[in-house]
Amino acid sequence: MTTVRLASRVLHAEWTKLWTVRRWTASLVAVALLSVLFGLLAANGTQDNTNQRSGLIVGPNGLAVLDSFRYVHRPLTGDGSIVARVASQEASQQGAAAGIMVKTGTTPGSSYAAAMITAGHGVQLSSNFSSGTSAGSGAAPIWLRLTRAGSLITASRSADGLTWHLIGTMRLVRPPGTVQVGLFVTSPPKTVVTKTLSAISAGETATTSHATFDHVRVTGTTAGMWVGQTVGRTDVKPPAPGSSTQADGLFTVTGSGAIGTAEAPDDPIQNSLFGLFFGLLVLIPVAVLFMTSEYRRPLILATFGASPRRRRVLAAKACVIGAASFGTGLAAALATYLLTRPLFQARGFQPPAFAYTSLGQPAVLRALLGSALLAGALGVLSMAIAAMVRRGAATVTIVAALFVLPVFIAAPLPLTAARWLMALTPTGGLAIQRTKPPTDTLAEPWSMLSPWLGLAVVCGYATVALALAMWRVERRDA
Amino acid sequence: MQSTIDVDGLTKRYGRVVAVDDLTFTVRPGEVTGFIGPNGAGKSTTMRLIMGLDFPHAGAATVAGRRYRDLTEPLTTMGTLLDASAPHPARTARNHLRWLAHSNGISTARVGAVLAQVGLEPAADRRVGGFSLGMRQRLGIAAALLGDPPILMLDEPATGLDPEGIVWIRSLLRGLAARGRAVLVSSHLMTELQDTADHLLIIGRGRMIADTPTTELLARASGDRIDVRTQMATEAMTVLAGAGAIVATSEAEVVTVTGLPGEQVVNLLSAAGVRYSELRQHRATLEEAYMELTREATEFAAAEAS
Repeated sequence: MTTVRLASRVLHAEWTKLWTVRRWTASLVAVALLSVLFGLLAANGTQDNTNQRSGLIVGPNGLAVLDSFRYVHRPLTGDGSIVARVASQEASQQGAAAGIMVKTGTTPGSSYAAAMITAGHGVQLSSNFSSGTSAGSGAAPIWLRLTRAGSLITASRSADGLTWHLIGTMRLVRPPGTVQVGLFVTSPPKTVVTKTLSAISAGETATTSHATFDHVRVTGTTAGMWVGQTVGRTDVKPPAPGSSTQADGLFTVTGSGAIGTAEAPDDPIQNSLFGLFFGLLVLIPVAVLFMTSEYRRPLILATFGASPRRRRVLAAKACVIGAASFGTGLAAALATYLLTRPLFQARGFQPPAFAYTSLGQPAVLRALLGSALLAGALGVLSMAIAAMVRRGAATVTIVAALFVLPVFIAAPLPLTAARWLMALTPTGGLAIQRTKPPTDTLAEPWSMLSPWLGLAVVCGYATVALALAMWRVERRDA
Repeated sequence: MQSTIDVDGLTKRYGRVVAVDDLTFTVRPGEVTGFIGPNGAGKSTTMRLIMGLDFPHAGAATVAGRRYRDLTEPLTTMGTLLDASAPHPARTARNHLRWLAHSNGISTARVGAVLAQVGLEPAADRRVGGFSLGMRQRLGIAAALLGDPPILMLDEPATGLDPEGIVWIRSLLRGLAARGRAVLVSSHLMTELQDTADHLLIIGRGRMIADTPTTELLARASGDRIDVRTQMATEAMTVLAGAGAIVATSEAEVVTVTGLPGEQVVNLLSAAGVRYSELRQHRATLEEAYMELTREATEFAAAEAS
């Protein structure tokens, strides 16, 4: 008799135990309904007018972008290239960049391709407001070259202006015949987060950075003089308009601002999926009862009588409640997403300010599947603790203390402490419902964790609890 | 492998209380073995130890030659009824048996078969929460029979059964033994097992008091006494005492004779013209035998204590 065969029998038995108690299956349906209900309430209660704001810059992919920097440029008609040596860089902070750029125009949000050195991340390539790709380490002085052939931009770097290394290719979006080529400097604003008991406010202060360029050469059909211009504008105080001078082939450029994505911080997907939190409050007791009902009545006598390998029984129980919780979570997340999506869109949560709205986007899929995984892991965790504690009320209290309490404890804590609390309790698992990068600026403490880290925490809890339960059950009278 | 339950030196303590104290016995196939003792004597604990549910402090128990925990399909080796309140109240009887069947790879056709065997078919799809104690006992017995095992171990199966149910379970147990099954059945009531058990294990305070065939125990308790039912009790006593017997009346019209064979009693009474309506070997009830045994045990314990 193979182990697989024996294991599948125990699984079949435990699965039968779960679905044959009608109030449990009814509760699982209630989990999904509650999630959808609270998701709908969340969707109904919000409104976002970022898309109506004046000065909203839309990038070539239709999403809101940041596009402000100092640009010293001249036109290039047809194919050609720009070469420059970044002689020095004086950066105010890590994200500050200095380099060369080909841009379809000076209108904020227009397509571009750039090669640059950054204060924190070496040589980088960036195009069309996507996050930069690294092209190795490096700092000033360094030679950079961008060559245009139609919409294709080829980037190279050199230490001496003689030996060039290809570092990547980029594409402009629908470039006109004449584009602007030149030198640029950015210096992103600093984020200042202030936290009080009831609210978190994030403010920004402008910074400026400097760079000098020489050996600047444009080949191809060009015309006119170099023009120094501050592209875009920021509302960040204090005002830092930037400047540029040119003398004997040496360009000195001072810039402020940033180039990148500018999505609104709100996350409609997470806001609707948070309804699952209330569903989970119903799921936890079901997972607990699935185990403690064995002990409340002496059902465990029949269970271990029929399957004396206790660890196998616990493993089967974990699989069954994990799968049932996952399935319920997935159904709840999908239904919530599909039902709340039109509501959110009608209330302003759509491009350009909000990127993640369609099911095909990896971040959205991650949030939906992750919500289901979170439900599955919590189901296993609840069942495993129940196997050790054996009493329903006590177990529910423990799981609630682990999962629910940190939400409220984190509120008055300083940011660092709150982040640690999220990284050390299953509550951090809620981070998987987010479609956006981690941020300190939101009221939900789990927004500071990356999605996968949050999920890893709760899965870790479930694994350790199950291992302890298995170790314990083998050594204890039934 | 012989279908037996073998218990060897089993000991279990809960704190300072010794629940099972060095028990050794064997339950053999083809017999109903009665496991008798007052409440709290350690019967249920012994059964839990046999099933490997609790861990003994000393000794071991095997079922069909193996530790219960090492059986791959335990329900097809030994069927058990430990506690009739085990099934979840929200599950139907059929679904309770179904998951049990799945766990041991038993065909679900057996579920219907055992439900019919215990007479629960009409209630098969009702939730166990609404069952009477008797119905729960029948469901527990159905669960024990599910794997058609060669060994059965039933803890107080007659509890809660109506008189008809008690008759039914007696014949069920007899039938199982007749088909070669080893049956261990516990009770705190002597009379319950009087006509059912072939062999008796009597325990008190976790210790074995007697491990004996039922007939032997009864014979011992009965002695060589003869009961004579007669309306001429005085005459009968005179005649029989004159022949050297010890006589006594325990109830009106019944004379108990000790020390004379039955044949001689008949001859003496006939010769003296004493009419009698009945003459039979005195048969002690299991109750009497048990009382006698436990009295000895109690005295033994008292003597030991002093």
